[in-house]
Amino acid sequence: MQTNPRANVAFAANPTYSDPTFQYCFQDICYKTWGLRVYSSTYIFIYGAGLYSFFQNYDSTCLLTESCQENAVSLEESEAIYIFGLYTIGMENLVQVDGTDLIPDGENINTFGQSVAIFEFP
Amino acid sequence: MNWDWLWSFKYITVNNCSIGINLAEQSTPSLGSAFLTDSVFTNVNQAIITNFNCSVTSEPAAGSLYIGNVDFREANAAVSYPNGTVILPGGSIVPAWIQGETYSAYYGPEVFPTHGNETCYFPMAKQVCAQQSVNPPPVSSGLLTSSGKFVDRGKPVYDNYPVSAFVSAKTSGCAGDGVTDDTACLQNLFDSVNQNQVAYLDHGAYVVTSTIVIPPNIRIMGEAWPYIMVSANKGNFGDPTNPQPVFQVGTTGQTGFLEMQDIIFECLGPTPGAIIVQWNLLQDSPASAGMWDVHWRIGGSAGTELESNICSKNPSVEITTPNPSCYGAFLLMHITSSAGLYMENNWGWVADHELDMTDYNQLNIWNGRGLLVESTAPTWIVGGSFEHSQLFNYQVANAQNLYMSAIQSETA
Repeated sequence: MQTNPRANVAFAANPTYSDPTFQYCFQDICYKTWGLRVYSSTYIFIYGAGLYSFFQNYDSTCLLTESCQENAVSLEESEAIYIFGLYTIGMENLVQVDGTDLIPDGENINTFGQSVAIFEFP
Repeated sequence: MNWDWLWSFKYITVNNCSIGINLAEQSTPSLGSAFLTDSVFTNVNQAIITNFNCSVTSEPAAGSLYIGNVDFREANAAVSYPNGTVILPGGSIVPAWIQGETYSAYYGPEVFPTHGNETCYFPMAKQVCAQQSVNPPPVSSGLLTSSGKFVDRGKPVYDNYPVSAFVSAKTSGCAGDGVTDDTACLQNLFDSVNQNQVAYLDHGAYVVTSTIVIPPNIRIMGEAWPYIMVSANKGNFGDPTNPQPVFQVGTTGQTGFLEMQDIIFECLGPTPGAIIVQWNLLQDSPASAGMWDVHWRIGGSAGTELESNICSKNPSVEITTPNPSCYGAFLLMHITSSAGLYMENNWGWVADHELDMTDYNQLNIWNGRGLLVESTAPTWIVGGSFEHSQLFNYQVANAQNLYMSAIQSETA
């Protein structure tokens, strides 16, 4: 259904659970379910991730321009994070680090979606 | 293997084959990504065939492949093109090899001339298309066996247990009828089984209205995926500002083994204050505590009271207000800071469409969160999915030493 309404409407962010606050968002399609959010963590090893966003308010037209969602993955205040085989659909960018988008979709076209073989933040 | 978005292979053995894995049946790369680890090719001519090449720019990332700790000692070619041209020769154990687009992120400097050449540091990434050996990542030793493979543990099948070892929930007096409150009955069952028995949940729907504490050192098995139906009708599990666990596996600081398999958790009406599984238990040896084929299915099916007759989508409304009658849980699975466990094949699905009512409509079910991992002890999450929660599907917070392989999510 997102972003009608946004991801943080039904449930308020609760710091006890380190919830995302979407403080880096500037555009509507940023306020969507994080596929993977890594916060204040180290030595995280991910081998194969398929993180998908198929709709904007139940409309899949956004797939044509890979603009259903701004990012699939957020790494925040973390290091020694290794992701192998990251595959996304419908994302403008694949990974954001501390609020900065680092992997635009067009560089990594792969069949129906996008992929990177390694994303590391050593 | 000429299609699909995401593959993860481990502990694969290929014997006496001309070709092991063929990624090049089509003229251009068409595979999403594949990961191959802790595997052995014996008496194989071409272990892996690919047509990936960094000079192919139309789909530069197609055919992504990562090889980690794979034994090619008895393969002629580890990776080769369809015509036999060798990319990576056989004859050795390959610690780490990659083909595809690679990004290494770092904080890099940017100088601001208008501010006295002050230097600030921002996240940046170096991109390289690679088809070569690479340094293996610094995998935590606690995630590995003594022989350097990732810990792997298949679902226990209890084939050497006598029938008398299975303690039936229904024989023990639980109703499992989707109506009766079985909280106390299930608690008694889990408290009563010993280390030589299995708490056996006969197929049915068991309504739970307050926290059940699962003691360490027991085994729980469902018959053809019985339902644990979380209900807020006794006042618990209804308050999102005071979330409570439904299945609390061990308490903080407890160590032991635990095996749980073949169960589906559901919500019976809205339970926005429910943490459906809260796992506190620390395994007493690698993967001795774990869950196999335990799933969450929130709404969209008969008996949940979260179905298309009241929860269908309505995208034509300018700003949708969540219907309080269509909430799922606060959080599906919480691995707390004291925990360490092995999870294999666990699917946390918030229904984005109806399964039983014949309109099969798309649904607005409001579930807060999917999986939250806060553990620092070694934890493995193998082959799973969390889909259609609101804030996050997977979140790793204040965690360390985590292995996840083949994770999948879909945005709400």
